[in-house]
Amino acid sequence: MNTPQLVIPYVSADYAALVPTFVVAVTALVVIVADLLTPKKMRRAANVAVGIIGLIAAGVLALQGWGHPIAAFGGAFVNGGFAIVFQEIVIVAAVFSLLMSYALGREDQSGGAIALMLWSASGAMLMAGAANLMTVFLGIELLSLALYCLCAMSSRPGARESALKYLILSSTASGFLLYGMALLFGATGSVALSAFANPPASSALFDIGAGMFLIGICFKLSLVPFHVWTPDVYEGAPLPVTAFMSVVTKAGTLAVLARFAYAALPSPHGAAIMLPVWIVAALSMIVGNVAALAQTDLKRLLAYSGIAQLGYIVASLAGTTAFGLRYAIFYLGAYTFMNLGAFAVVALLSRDRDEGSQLTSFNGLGYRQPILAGAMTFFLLSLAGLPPTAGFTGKILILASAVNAGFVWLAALLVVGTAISVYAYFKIVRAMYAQTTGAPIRRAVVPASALPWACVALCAVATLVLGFYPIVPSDVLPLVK
Amino acid sequence: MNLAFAMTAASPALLSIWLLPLVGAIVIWTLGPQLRRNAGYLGSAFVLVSFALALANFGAAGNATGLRAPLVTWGPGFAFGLQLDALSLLWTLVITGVGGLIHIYSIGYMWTDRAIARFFAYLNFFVFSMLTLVLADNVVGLLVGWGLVGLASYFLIGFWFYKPTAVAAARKAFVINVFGDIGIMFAIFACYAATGSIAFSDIFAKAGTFSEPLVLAICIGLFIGAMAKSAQVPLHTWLPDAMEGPTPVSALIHAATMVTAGVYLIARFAPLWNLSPTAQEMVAVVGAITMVTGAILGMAQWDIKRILACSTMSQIGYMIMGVGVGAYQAGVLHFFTHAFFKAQLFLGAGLIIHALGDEQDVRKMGGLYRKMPFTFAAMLTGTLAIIGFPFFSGFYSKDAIIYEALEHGHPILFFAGALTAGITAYYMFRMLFVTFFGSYRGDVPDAMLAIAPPVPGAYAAHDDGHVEHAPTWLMQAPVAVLMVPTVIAGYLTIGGESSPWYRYFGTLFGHGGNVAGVPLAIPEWASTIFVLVLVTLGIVVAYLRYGNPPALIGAVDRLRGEALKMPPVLAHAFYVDALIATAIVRPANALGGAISRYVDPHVIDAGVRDVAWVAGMLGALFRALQTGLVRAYALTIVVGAACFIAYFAYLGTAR
Amino acid sequence: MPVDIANYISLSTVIFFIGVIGVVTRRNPLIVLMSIELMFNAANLAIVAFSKLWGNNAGHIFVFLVVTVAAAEAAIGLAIVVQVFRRAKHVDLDEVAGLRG
Repeated sequence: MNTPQLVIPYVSADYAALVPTFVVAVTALVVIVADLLTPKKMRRAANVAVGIIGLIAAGVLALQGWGHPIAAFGGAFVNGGFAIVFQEIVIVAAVFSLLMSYALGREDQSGGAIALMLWSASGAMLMAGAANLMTVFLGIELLSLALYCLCAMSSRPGARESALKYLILSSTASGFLLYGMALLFGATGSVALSAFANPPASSALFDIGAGMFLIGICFKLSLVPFHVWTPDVYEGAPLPVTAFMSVVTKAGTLAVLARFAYAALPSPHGAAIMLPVWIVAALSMIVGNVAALAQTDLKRLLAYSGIAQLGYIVASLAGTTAFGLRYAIFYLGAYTFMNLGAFAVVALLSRDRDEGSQLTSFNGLGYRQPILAGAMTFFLLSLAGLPPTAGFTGKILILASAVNAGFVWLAALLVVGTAISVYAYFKIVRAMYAQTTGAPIRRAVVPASALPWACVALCAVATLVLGFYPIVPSDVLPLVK
Repeated sequence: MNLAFAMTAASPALLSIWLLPLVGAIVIWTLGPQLRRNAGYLGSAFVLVSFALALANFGAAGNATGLRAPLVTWGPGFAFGLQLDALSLLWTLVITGVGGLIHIYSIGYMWTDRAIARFFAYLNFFVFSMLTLVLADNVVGLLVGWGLVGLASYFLIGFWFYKPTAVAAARKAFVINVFGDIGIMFAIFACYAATGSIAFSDIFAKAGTFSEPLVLAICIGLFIGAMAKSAQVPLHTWLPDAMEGPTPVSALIHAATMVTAGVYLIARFAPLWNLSPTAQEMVAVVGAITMVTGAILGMAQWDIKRILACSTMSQIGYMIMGVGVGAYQAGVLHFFTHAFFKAQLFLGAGLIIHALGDEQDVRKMGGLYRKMPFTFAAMLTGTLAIIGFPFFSGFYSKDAIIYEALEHGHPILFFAGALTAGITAYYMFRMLFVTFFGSYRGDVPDAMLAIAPPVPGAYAAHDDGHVEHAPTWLMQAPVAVLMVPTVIAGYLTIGGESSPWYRYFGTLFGHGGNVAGVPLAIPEWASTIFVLVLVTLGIVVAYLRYGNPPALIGAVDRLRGEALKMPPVLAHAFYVDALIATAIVRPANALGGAISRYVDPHVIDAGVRDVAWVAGMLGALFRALQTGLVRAYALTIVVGAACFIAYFAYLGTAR
Repeated sequence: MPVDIANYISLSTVIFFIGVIGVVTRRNPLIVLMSIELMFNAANLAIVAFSKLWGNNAGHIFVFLVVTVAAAEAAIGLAIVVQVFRRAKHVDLDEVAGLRG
């Protein structure tokens, strides 16, 4: 007689791999409780503090796993150097976004907003280790659902519109992604990425499935022509959310893309499957920078610049070389700091409900706030890829990796894109240092907000240091089992 | 997490030469408020110690490989380090030596400026950047130095940031230099793609295997950078404007060091240039055009610093022409002598400007030789050197360039060089006569001299009161020291091919191309005499127009008439500024803005306008495509998706 | 009589493209949300059919996951639609175009 036995299928090591992600998700709950318990005056400070402590704890815990790769839950979540690096980038971005959010937003919403941000981050952390279609989908949706709400949680005029656009377009892309997953499952009979390397059945089914999967991924990375949502959503969303989105969604999705490209594709055929991705990366480098030329809103400009930056990062993966991945991760780290630094400067120019993202609010900043303007110039130099910044170092490395992998056309387009971008970024520098005939919009920097200042300082130091000492982590090849 | 770079032991002397100015910049920046004027002494000390160390390593650097200091290795082909060979040592000595003297001079010049500590932090940072440029043993390090130098010069030109003209000049210099940086980036990218390494030694070792078009492409990329930094036509317009910075900055950056970086670049890449006669031709011709243009512009200036800036442009034209025709030793020698006499001229001009309370217009000067005999002696020595007067340093270097242009088969460039020497003599003596002879015109009303009234709203002359004056020796001593090499630096080449100068460089530059191009029509002494005749003619014309007694007595009327009759094409510097504004500065400033801005009455080159217009239109097009309609966005995504799916369906069935 | 797998996949493809066309053509946000649900559920149908074909359970689990996520998506979607059109008499996506350029 078979008596049903209670079997716990997974051992504690499986759960240990997910601990950092859990910690972030549970911290969100703690924030909500803390929001209820603390007196109104110190509520926002308490919420931000709890959130940051939780994130830092998760970051420390995640580092414990370094050097002990493990395929948890039957290969659904593979922890290792690769996942940890991406998780750390997500955590750093979340911490900086929380620092920025301190100066902004309505008092009574901070608890919910911070909790949603943490949940979104935990979704990205899940994606960092996801090696199974279900985990990938769960991570992407956890990340996105929380972001839809975050976009809507503001009384700014464009916030709800941006949330609606983001929801509809992103869900459509998720539909493509999901249908692609269905076809991949149909072609291989497995949801594990590890089963894709030698698909047993029809190759047409597998290829179309991979194609639709990549459509969804390119949408989340906002690569041209799937980028259309980005500028509108970035402009409408509250500033800390935009900053968060610009790094965290990209980091999580890039982890999925890299794992898929490096570990899950049938080897002689992978190059042909990934070719369209390199092409959209090239398009992004050009279109993103050209479109940035015409922008007058900083958030929109940074949205277009982000499109181009992601193009650079994906270009580094071209040819799926080991060095390419390491350089892509380095550039992603550099992008995190220079991009968040630029956003933090905008946050310092903002008052509640009135974000200083119009180009005019930078007029004459070089005279009113020389340090802030200097920092902004430095971040823009880095975004444009000029020395002595991490952006320059990263771009040199990416050029080297693209050339080594035989993608000379991609490298050439990267240089062209860089040349165009210099003029887009220089527009901001000009506004800051030009003597304008019209009176600049006087906008005092909010004095109480020491936290965004800290954010600017940390980002500037990191951008400078990474420029001279490119910490390119080793042991980051993604695994699928 | 292991880091993918490794530190290797490096020559401590070389590291100190490189890092001392950086340490100085950081120390002065952090302790600035406490240091006040001591910042000047401290900054000078850091640079002079660096100079002493460089001098101490003179012998070590002169051997075949020079001194090496590997620093950081990121991966295969990505090794960063420093090298001190004959060429970089020469530049290092000038940067730290002349730079150190200018530091000392600046203590006096900036005596009353409240931001004196910030000034010296910038100066030290500039020296560090320049050393990075010349000491790097790889292309990326060179590019980093190149960019840092541009940044430092941006800070220094805009040092008096409350002057809108200074800020505008700083911005202009920065934009044009970034344009050049992109050219160099292209060249570096091509070098790395072709050799898989960033080290000079690897690139030059494999240069022989490059295809002809590749060499040409790399050379063009490098030359765009050199043109921007060394103010070659048509990217020269930032240089006269950059005189908005404090005078020591003009002397250090825009005469002695930074603007000659282009010469260094070409000399450093000599193995590549030697492979491409076309590229050499291009460099030589652009250098010659700049040389003539600068000299012609110099005849039409009234601002003493602008006269010197135009002469700088012209002299760098000589150097570029020299290295372009393959006469590397002569071109580099002219850099060496020019650094001394031009620094001296600028510092002398600074003495005048300082004494007259920030007056820079030569029409308001006159008769100064009696009041300032020391300054007059300094300016006279500098002038004699720059015009190539026999037995002064410029005589040897300029003469060598002009003659070698002929020797390498460029008779037209030879005549252009000789003619420019004559023009140089004319406008330098014009400046000397107007400034130092006749009677003092400082109290003559502006209208009498046809000096245009200041633009309304422009910042009035910088004035810190000058109540408290620095000790005079602080500013005079560096000038006096500079007078020595201004006279004697050229003696190094006496003896031709067997002189110390030529032996020092040895085979560093390889063979500079087609020496046997044309049978020589005249021997060297004939060429020298020909040039000297033209120089004398220039001096005589200047004397007749400005120096003889009737001209001196009627100076006010004469200067007014001349200012009014100045041909507009000269007064507007050949309208190149308008062209540059259209080609580079304006697109940078306004790309993507109103299209009407591109339809500009000053536009000369329609092709340039079209490029800017296309970029602006594309930006506007992308803006227009972003309609804000959700359905339009969804359609874009679906069309993109359809392309993807079509590709993959094809791929799946074809497999 | 077992139904051939191709029929399921054809049906699911048709439903998916009806969903895509709905997203592109409809101006009512509610119908657009429904179209998105169609895309999700077309994928669900395909996954269940493939699961049957391969004879493993992974597909079933996947479908439950997707249904849950889709429900959450619909809830958030409706909430945002209500927020956007709180004061409007009728709802039209083409009128939500304040952010552009």
